[in-house]
Amino acid sequence: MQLGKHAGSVRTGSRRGSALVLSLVAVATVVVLSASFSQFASAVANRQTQAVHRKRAFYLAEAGLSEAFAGFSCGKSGSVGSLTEPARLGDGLFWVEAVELDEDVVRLESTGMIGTGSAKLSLVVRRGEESVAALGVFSTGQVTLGPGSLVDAYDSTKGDYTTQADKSGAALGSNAGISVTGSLAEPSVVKGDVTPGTNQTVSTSGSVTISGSTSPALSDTVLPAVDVPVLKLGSPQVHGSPYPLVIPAGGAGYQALTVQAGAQVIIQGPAQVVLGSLTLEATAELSFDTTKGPVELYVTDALDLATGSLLSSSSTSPEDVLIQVPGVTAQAIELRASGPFHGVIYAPETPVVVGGEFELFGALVAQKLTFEGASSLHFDKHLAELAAELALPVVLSWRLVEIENTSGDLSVDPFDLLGVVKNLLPPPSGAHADQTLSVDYYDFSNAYHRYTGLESQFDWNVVKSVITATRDGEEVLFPTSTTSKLGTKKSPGVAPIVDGPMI
Amino acid sequence: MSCGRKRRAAFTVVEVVIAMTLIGLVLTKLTLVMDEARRAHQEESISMALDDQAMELMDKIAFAIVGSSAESLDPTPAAPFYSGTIHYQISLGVEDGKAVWSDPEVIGLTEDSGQVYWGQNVGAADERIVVWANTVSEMLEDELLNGVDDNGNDLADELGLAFVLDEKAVTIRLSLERERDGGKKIQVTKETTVTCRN
Repeated sequence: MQLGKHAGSVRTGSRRGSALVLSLVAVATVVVLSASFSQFASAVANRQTQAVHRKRAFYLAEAGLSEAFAGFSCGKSGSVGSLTEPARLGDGLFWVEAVELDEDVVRLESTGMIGTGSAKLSLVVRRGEESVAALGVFSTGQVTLGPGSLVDAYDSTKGDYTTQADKSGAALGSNAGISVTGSLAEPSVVKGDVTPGTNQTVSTSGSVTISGSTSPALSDTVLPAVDVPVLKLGSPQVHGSPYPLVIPAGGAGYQALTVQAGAQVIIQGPAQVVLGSLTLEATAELSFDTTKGPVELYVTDALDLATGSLLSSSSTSPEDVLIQVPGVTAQAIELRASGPFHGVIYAPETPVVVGGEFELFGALVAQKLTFEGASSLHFDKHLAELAAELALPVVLSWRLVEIENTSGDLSVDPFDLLGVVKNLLPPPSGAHADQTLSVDYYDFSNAYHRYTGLESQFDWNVVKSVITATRDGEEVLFPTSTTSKLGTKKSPGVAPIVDGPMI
Repeated sequence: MSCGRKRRAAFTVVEVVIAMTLIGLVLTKLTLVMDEARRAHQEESISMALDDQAMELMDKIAFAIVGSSAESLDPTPAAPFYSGTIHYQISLGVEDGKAVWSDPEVIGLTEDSGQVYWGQNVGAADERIVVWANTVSEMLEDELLNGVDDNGNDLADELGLAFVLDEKAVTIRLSLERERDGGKKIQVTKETTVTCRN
């Protein structure tokens, strides 16, 4: 019986063994499935983490471009950090190299790295253009205002001139002296600042009212040269027909254009027109049709608008008509036409005589300015805003150069890869390339200071307001400024306190 | 007598039947569980693989378009309209002060095969076409071909790849699809918006 029982227990043990095998098979299957799934999930997670690193590197590189562009907009070189000392941002880093491609064209190449991700982006920008329209009424030589002259200001974006109560804010300036004459019958009025050249004065005689400051300029203003478009000039034209001569939109040029009495010439925009000389006889009319675009008129030799002639434009926005005289003409430009004319007249090397019937809405800049009589110049303050916009850099091209993972190993750190110490790297704002800064400013006690030296040795915290500043000779713009640059910078009237290195 | 009626230890028929039934039930249940686990594994694997593929494809499309100019985009459908194809040109840099543009490129969907392709100079002698994926759904997830907006994204009857333009921003919607054993379809949908930088 014992044996039999024993034998029976052996058989029972065998059955338990088969159940174990079944269980093992089931468990093994689940384990294999779990392991393969785990491995697959790990591989997918790895790939997705790498994709996330690439995207974060892309955004870091974009942050680098933004930092460089913001710096470039206010006179910095555009270089931020370097391969050996990049800027630190969060858990990543970036550096931007600025390469001068052409005159005023710069390529900013930003590299961002975080985790295993690396991205390189390229931005090509062109420096902003200098606009003289913000100068208002300005000349590099003497300015003479005769009796009855009126220089005031308005804003063309706020409606018609006559409906605006505030006519202050005019800018009348010169690199030389300014003379204003008035009489009881014909008083002269300037509703704004009159700014003569450095060490120059404003002389007045008779009934003259100047509402703003007459203190001199801080420095001389250099007027940019005019670039005349290269166009084939047609033979001289004398237009005397009762039917208007229409110069259609596009580019056109004549060696000379004379508009005889009673005749009319219409220039349709958008157009660039180059004329050797332009003569408007009495009762002749030159009209600018800017309904489809602006007109730029270049007169290279002589511009004569006779008394009784008419200069007009279809638009009341002065920025739509620009008349430029690039060089020295044989005789002074004579603006004796009847107004009102809305536009900008720029003749940096030629004297301009303004007749008593001429009324200009916009801006006038010349080599020398003489107001013969009761002429009116209404400076459009909106031109200063447009000039500020024009001064900002323009993006020509944005390009994704490369985006990749530097390693398949997720534990790779870009700081280790470049051999830099994370905590010793500068923040983006402190990583801009050092430059020579020249700044005139007021401190918090309103004392006038001047500093010239490396920007890294200058403490901006001592500055209350900036009068003028340059970096490596390039004017520093303050894009966040709420007021546009208008007229010329005035001298504080005292000698500056010259600062040395502060840091 | 006692020797002739020797008792042998054994199960009765009833015991054996019960035991076999229990074993059968256990094995059946085990098989079902194993099969369910295998299906779940397959479904999850396909879903993850599709998600991975969709993310990679979306990045590829987004990084291709981001360097383009909004003016070069064609067509320019604004919601509720969309396009399954987009033509564009990317900036290559600047020469003589002027931007240099790439040859015309296209990203599109071949509806009958569910392929997403990238092409350059399509139709010209130096045409280049690369297939980026071939698992795109016929329609975007939860959308039916019935003339109405079923999935609430302001588009009606949109395909598995849809581009919508809003000024300089291109919204890309993408659904990938694959069948697992048993015919069940698994879909993954991604959406992103890219702003053209030029």
